[in-house]
Amino acid sequence: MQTSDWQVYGQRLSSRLFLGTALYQSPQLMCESIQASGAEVITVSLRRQQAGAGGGQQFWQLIESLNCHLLPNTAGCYSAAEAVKTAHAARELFQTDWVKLEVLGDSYNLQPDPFALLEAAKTLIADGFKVFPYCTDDLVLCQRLADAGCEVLMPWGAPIGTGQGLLNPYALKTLRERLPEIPLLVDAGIGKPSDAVAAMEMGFDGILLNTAVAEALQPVTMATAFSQAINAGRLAYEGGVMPKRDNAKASTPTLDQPLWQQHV
Amino acid sequence: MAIEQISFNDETLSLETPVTVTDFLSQQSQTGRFVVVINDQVVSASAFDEQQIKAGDRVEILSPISGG
Repeated sequence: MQTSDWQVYGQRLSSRLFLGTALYQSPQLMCESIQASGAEVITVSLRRQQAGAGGGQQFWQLIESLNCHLLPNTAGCYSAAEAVKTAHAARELFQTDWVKLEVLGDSYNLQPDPFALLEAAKTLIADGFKVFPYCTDDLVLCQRLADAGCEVLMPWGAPIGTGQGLLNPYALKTLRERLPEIPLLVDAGIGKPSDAVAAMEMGFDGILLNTAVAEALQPVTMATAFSQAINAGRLAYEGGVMPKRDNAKASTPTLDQPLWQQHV
Repeated sequence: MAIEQISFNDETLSLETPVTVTDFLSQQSQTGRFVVVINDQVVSASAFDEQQIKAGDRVEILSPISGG
């Protein structure tokens, strides 16, 4: 059983997994992992090209062959101005107005700078971009990003590449409760499929990850595991998880039990 | 024409200016898929033949790479 389709910026999607294209041991392993994951959206980036370097042509041909929606990022930007410039270059290069907006504020934990992020988001939305902001799990920041016109939010679960899972479940649950209409993806920090299940059971709409698949011992197998986990977590959310209770409650009916089992 | 300096991918480069983007790309053996940014402004491919690079310009050429 598959989960229901969903939409982001009017784009209908079946898969709820966005997968990164970095850190794989080979281009072939990257392609096989993406295919195994069923991801329909993959993240890409851009870098300076040296003379005669060939323009990333091989990488471009590979990602084109995957027939996925491309989500260029602004990785490595530490100011709104840098991120805006990078987003414009990415739009020309990848021919998409989608952008995963990253504006970092600290080089130790690669935490997004909420002030510069909001500033860059406003500028890019005014320039016609469809902004996917990589943000912290701060409720007020997320509300401001939504007010600015972001139609999807991507709060972190933990710092990029740490694999620590959902460090602040309370904040993530609060985001879901306070922003019920906007698609939410956990981006960054997911380490294992159970982390993804936990986020999806909360009602998150999707997961963006890279390292957890690319650095797995068997990336293709792990990509499959994440695909199934995200599907299971979403089905659990749609199915409705039972509430926890303090007292035990027998699941087998007690009516008309044999006499010797009837306890007062 | 004069020999002038520009910044190319953050390094100083001496060349005859002005030069069109198309000629500059040819001189630098730039092929494949890339985007040209001059003084922080993206130059669309349709403008390569007309837009000129002048002394002091900051030119960057960016190409696709994997990303997370």
